[in-house]
Amino acid sequence: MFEFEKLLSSTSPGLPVMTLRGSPIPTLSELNLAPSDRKTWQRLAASHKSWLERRVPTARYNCAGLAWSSRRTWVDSADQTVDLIRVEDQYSVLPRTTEAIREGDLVVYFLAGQGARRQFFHVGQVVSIGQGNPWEANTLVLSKFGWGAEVRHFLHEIPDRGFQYIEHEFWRES
Amino acid sequence: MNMLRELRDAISLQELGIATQNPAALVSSLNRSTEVKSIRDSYRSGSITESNIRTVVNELLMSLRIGERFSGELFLAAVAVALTPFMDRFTAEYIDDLANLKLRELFIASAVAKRCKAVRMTMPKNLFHPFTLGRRAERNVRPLHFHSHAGPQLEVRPGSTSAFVHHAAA
Repeated sequence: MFEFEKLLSSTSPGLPVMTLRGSPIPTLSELNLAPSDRKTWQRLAASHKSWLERRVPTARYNCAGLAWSSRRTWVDSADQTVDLIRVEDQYSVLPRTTEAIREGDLVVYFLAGQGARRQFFHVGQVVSIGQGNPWEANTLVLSKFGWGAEVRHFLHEIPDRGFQYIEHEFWRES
Repeated sequence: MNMLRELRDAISLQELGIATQNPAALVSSLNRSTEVKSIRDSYRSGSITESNIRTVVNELLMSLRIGERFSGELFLAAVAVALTPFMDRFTAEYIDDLANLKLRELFIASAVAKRCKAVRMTMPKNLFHPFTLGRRAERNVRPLHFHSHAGPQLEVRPGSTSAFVHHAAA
């Protein structure tokens, strides 16, 4: 199986990125979008009317690349990578109150484990704290969806098809 | 066969790939998806065969372009997740080969396959008795299961060139 693909090798890493303590963060090289990607993205975006696109789709960086590599490269989204960043960049988890959260904090989404450990799902940056009740529902986040566009969206309005148990927490670097 | 092609073209699969790129989260989600469950059931019953999967995967890989995002990546990952519980030669080949690829374009599919491979390592070891079926059997045989309460289970799958003796988990 995959006989032809075994002969190919194109795993050039992306730009080097390190944690505050100097550990390398795994990154991946940029890809061009496939011809069908734009249509796929438009279909998804059309189902989220409140999304505001900041820039067009690109596979140069992903949500983790937006949060942790300043849009320069695609950052591997495996749990161990996110754990490494959390520890070595000294992020702390904030209480979920309007007093505690500030613009610029990260909102990190997890797929809640059913008896197992939770899994990293998505990350974005808080750009506006919501007012009223529930304030989180009105909080605006800037994030990037995979190879799709960079979008400003409400905190709970992320593409979650197939994911039933998503939780989130707020992080701030120390 | 049609089920495989429907999954290949499924919008939900594309959107899943946009939603997250964490292999662990993808495995969890794919495991819960009805499409993956259907493929698993069909492979178990023999209505989807090794030959069907090879055909659809090879068709799909024709569109792989170096340096370009591969839209079939999540399909390859979904098939790996669907095949994970089966301890036969083909599923081992599919999952191992996909896990061992070093292609940026298939990075996420490979990462998902690595997780599937790890899950398989924790599953009960089965005795593996390969033998070649005659042409007649390949054409006509429905899956045969020989059960005994205490002993192993023999499974012969249509289109397969092997049969397997599954031992119940200790």
